[in-house]
Amino acid sequence: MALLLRELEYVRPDSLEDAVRLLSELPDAGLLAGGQSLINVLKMRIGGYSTLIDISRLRELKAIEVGEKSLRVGAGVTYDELMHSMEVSLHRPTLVDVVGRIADPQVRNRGTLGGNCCYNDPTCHLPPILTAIGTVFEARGSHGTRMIPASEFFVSYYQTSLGPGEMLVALHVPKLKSRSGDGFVPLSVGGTDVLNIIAGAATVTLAEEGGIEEVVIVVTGASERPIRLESVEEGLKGTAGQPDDADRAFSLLDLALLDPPDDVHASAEYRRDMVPVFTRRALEQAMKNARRGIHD
Amino acid sequence: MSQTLTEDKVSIKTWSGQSIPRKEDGRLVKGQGRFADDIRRHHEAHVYLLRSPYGHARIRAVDVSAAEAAPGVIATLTGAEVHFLQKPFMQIAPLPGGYIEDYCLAVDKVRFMGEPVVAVLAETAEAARDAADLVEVDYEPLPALITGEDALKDDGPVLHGKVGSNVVWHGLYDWGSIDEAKRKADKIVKIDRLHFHRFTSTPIECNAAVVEYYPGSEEYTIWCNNTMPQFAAMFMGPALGIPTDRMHFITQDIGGSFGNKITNYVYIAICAILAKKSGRPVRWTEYRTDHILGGSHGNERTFLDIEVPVKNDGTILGIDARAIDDCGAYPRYEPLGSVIWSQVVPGAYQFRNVRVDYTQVVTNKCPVGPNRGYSRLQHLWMLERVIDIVAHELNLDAVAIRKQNYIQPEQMPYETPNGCVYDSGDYPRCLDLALDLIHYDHWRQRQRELSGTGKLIGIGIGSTLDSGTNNFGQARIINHDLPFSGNGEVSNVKLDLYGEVVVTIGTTPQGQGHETTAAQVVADLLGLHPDQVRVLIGHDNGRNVYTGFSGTYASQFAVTGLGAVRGAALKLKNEIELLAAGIFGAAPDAIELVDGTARVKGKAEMAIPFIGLANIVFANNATIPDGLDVSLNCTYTYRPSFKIPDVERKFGNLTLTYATQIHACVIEVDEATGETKILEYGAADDSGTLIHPQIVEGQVHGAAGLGIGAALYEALEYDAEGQMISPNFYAYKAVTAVDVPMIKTAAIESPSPFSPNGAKGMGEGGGAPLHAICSALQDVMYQRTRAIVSDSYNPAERVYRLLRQSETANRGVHVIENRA
Amino acid sequence: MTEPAKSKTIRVTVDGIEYTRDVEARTLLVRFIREALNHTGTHFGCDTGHCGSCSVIVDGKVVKSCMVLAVQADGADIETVEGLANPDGSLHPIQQAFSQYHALQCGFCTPGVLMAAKYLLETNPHPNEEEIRRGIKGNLCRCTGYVNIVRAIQSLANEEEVRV
Repeated sequence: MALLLRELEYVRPDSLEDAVRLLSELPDAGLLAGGQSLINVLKMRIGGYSTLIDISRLRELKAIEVGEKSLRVGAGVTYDELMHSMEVSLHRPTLVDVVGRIADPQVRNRGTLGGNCCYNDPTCHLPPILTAIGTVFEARGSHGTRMIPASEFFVSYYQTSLGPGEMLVALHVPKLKSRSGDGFVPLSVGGTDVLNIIAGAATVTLAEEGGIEEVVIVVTGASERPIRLESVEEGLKGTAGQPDDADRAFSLLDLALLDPPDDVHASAEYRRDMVPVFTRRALEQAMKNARRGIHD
Repeated sequence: MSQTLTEDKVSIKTWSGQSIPRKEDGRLVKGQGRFADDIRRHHEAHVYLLRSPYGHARIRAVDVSAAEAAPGVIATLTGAEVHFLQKPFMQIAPLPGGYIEDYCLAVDKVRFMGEPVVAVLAETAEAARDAADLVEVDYEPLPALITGEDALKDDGPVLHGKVGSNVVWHGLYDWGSIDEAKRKADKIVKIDRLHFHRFTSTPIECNAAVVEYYPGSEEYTIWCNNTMPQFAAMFMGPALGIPTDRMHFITQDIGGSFGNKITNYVYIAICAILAKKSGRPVRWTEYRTDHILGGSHGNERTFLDIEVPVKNDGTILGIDARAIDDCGAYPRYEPLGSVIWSQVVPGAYQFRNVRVDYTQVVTNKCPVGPNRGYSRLQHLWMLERVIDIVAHELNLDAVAIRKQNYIQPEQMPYETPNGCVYDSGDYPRCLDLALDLIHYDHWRQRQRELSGTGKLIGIGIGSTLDSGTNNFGQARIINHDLPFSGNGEVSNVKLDLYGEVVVTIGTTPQGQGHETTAAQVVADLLGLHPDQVRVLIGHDNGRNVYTGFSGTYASQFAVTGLGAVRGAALKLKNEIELLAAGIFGAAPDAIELVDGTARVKGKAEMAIPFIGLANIVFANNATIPDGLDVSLNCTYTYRPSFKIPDVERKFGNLTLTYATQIHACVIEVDEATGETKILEYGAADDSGTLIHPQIVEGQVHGAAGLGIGAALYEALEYDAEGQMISPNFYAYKAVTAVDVPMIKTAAIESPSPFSPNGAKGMGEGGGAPLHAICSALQDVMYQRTRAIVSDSYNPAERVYRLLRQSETANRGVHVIENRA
Repeated sequence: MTEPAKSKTIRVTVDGIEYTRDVEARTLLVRFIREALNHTGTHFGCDTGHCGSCSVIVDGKVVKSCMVLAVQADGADIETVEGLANPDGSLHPIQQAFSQYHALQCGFCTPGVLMAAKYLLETNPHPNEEEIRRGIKGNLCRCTGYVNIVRAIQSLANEEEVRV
């Protein structure tokens, strides 16, 4: 490993249309956005691409638009741009908090939402929270546009459901409903949010009387992809979300769902043990945020 | 800094002792420092090293033909060629450990992942890197040896066949009478196993070198960041057949070392061979992954069968233990660590009966090298673990047992059981200061209040000594035939042609502020402002100011470096006084030096500026007063007073000074996850007389930061096949600004009676945070499962396991009542 | 540019001086700055974008120059440590504070830390201790335990008027 990349070709198309065309035409071409993961892959000289299509300046990928039910966030929006988006802090504030934790200012100034999602490293911040809040991914290829729900987008380690020649152009993030809240709590190596051993994400909508109406709980780091803890969600629905409700619900956690990796950062066993801890913390944070919404 | 002129007299406080702005800072904050990788030579070529992907494998064949045919490639170098061109590097170990053959490239086998196998030299770094991808190496993987304990098993692999085993060195250290101590004890506390893990200070600047060969004079010019260049020359010279005077080492700014850059001579040797082979200046840039894989690691040490005889009142009578030190695949600086630990045999404590059965072994891991706190921190950590475990098992207070067993200030200077002399210090007072820094009483109270609430607070103490200025005679305890002893550093202080004051030192500073502190010392002696003193950057043997020991390591600059500077400045002062006295017809003791002028005391008109003195000596020497032999160019070698140790008894004074660092901390452990959060951190240090308090405090901070990282986040780990699983900063979690708390400091000054200026070497920190954090974790465990904190590395997962250890599990600690 | 190529002519401004250079597409910005322009004040200390020694400010945003291709910086205005001081050589307040508070020892990580600190204070003139630590967490220092780096930045954060 060194700061010496293999010889490669570079092209910076002026439009999204050109980018999509080049992606389908050029053999072994890859998209370069913020590069905060891809450049490291290139340094390692494992895999990588022989041609890079630089999409980091495409204005079409930078827009944040507010729709009726959701925000359309361009895939090329950087973490830093997202952190400073009034629209996002108004309509899905948790995203501002989550990206504000990613790595460090330097990475946030370059790294993009699309890059984070397409890289789909199990230690990344965005896949679990985007899955929990029901994000839909807008992909464009030579055959047109396709909408992919998060539950289908993240396939496995470093794999998404994007097909050859297809690129992620935007994320459709549902606006936070009333009486709702999100939570995101990672166990990160050394507390620096560069690598998450486990990340729990949750979103909750409360009924008017305060009980749990809807809940989604997601964990990453416990399997090849973000997984939903549906049995726990079922156990929580209709309850008041008090600690003993959570105790009962989490006792329903299906540990067989989990197939965590075993690596230098943590053993599979520890990761498995941490799943209920961090998903529950995420749930508690979501509940707190949802209740705050009620009091507002 | 105040300077008061009263009539004809200048009264000035000394510059020594003041925290003046560092001279180094001006260039470093502007990006004008010159580091090894900043060197560019006309027509330079670039080397890339292809490294072993295996921990242990036989090299069946190497094919460089495709690489040599690649565009831009100038030359390649393989182990087969090296086998011809190089003799194995000198081994410090006696036979049979000394049979180990260490070459700059792997010759027949690779013995650690990352070991360089082929060097490719090309017109550009990119071309060298690209061509390395075309080299074909046929490996036959061999079983790997990963732990020190496995290295001693009869049926495992042997790394270096000629040695016959994996033992580099074995020795029994036995002082006092541990058997008698065991008979006299009320109890014997037995600890089965303590493990000190492998980590590295890993400076942010990796290794780098540019080597240029001049055939006309058969001389090599070596720009590099080696921090002990003449030691490197002693290794490279015989191996490469180069007289040491033909190796011109130049170091300038060095981006940290912490000892890690002492052994990079192996890589410099590759560059030297290629420079001669190609006739081109050879530039080598090491990257982080290379550095972590193949730079130098800290020693990993396992302590087994520890037995501690104690009295019921907590008096510790001695320690009996086995130690297995794992030095990785090649010893290099080792097995010096196998004796260096014995500079601090009893740590800060009074017990006098010690037996350590010490073995150093090779494994299929990166070679170790000195690493901040080198070899002492492992031992001091073990002692501090013992103190805490004994305290808890006997229901004694952790503070009281320390104070009771500490060597007391009135006992100083104190001779240890192995003949080392602790020069000065007040350990109980340092402990009190450290406890005040962390609000000890408050947190003990909080701890009791929180008991049973699920919030886990732990309080820990780490007592360490920072031994400085080695007596290299201790190497003879390892190998009786080694012709090493004493220590020393050289400085030259001169006037230049127009009277400029210029200081040269043999050292290789890496942030310790040598230019500043040397200028303070010289300014005081020559009546100058430190700004008027220029200190040359780095080590350059072309300046002819060095000994074989020159460099910056083992906490000695304040003693050896400044001792040499002081001696040279005094010689220059003496010459200036003689010359001025001759000019004015005055007695030398009537001359005073004030603001760059030599003058007769009380006679303002009888004064000559340094430029005038320089002119007389360098360009106008027919005017030198008759009979005067002055050069205004004065060199002095400082040699501490050392004797050769008694190698049979392993007894003698191994180090000149002993700085104290007592650290204390308060932690909170998340019971659900095992994560440790540091709530308070305090370090009290006693480094003797302070030349520049801010620099000393900075060293304390730095040692604390690295130690906290090592205790909680940083480990160099290998899997069973010898694959390194932490080869970069993704996996080697170097501590960041959000991982460390504000470290509070307090200092006392117990001047060393043995050093020229009362200062002590410092900067190692003795690994104190490892001790303090483990101590605090132990404090937590005794509130829960009573699990023993037996490893120096405690990431969240390990703490989580300890918190869940079954209460009926074998904790690895046994208290035996002595019925004798 | 719409055709892929292995190299490209780029124009960048570094510390106020404009350069036009041919550069291979694979060249990282840090190597362009250090090797092509010979501005060795910007360092590198790792190969994975963790150490932050190579931090520079590109069009007002601090980035790690080992995580950006030089061709991506075409047209950019780049500030490095070498442009921090005033033209007369006097130090920038951040440089001064680092010296005053002994926030550097070996000085190797310092160029990157200074650029991160400058960016931090530009975007948040009065950071508290936690914000300072989070602001420099992309920069590794092995000498200082970060104590005096944080103090040096605090000394500027506490001023009523921060001019950076």
